[in-house]
Amino acid sequence: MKLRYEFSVMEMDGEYMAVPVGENAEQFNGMLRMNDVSAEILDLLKEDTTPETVHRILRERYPDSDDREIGEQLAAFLNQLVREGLLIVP
Amino acid sequence: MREFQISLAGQAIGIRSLYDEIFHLCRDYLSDRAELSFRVETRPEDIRFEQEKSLREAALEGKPAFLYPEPYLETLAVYRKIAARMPEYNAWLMHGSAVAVGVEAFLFTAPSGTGKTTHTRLWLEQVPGAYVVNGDKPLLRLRDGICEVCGTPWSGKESLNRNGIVPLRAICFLNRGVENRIKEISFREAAPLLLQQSYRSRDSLTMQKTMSLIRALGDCTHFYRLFCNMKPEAALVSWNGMRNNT
Repeated sequence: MKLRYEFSVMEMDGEYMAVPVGENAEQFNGMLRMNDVSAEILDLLKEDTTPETVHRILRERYPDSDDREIGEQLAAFLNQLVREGLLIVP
Repeated sequence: MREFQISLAGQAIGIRSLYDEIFHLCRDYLSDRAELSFRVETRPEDIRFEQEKSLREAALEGKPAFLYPEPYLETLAVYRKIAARMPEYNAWLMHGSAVAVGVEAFLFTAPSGTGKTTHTRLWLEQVPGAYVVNGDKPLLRLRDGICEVCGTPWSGKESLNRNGIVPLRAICFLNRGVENRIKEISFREAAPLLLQQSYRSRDSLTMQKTMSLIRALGDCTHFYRLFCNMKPEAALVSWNGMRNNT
């Protein structure tokens, strides 16, 4: 799986915003609003990857966090991306 | 073919156009500086792009599709090219109606059809000395920690604009309401709305610069949310709500 578009991301007052850029950017006129962990997930999805790989990387980055919580946050964000047509899933 | 120079947001911009309409549109913004900040040139494919974009958007919104005259489409193409370059000069296009009173400007912004034009007209009628800097697509410029609203000739159906640069006092997000009321909101609440109303470059670096300008805006102006009807009192509620804040 990987992102359908390239995104420009910026933190604004504690919240991360992402808008699509590149050739097909105008096909998605909206924006994404995220916390810091979702912004990291978005960054990992620039390259073709799997949910398991992203989960593993997040667990390494947040060793003190609850595995299940990380998994739930990952699943919720991936589902949001799929619903909005932003993720190419094989 | 026509070649001329205009000044927008303090930058000298060279324009080479296919039709004369753009020259007439820009007649109040002509300049003759020795050095240009940048130059834009339109080609037939830019005009085709504007027509196709208009048809795509009409289809998406379920609105009737129109074929526009090429000279008009060229005016859109020129502003698109200018808007794509302005972030390099700490300025960007924001959709909204900018009204000035004395030496301060107020920007009203909202999705199309909310009532920006009506609210602007009420300000012109109710607030002494009010005038429109740009009724639809002003440029905002950040300079030395101050945000300024810059007039441009691209100003919507009413063509209300004035060639000038005015410090921005506040940005007000309009919502329709039964009663008129205004409240100050945080930058955090304002940020996604600002981003939604700003010109989005498809170029990654330019978009990143635009977002950094929007973020800096949080430190140099006030943000408000106005719920308003179309009665004259609406203008007085928003004027009194924003004028006294320091």
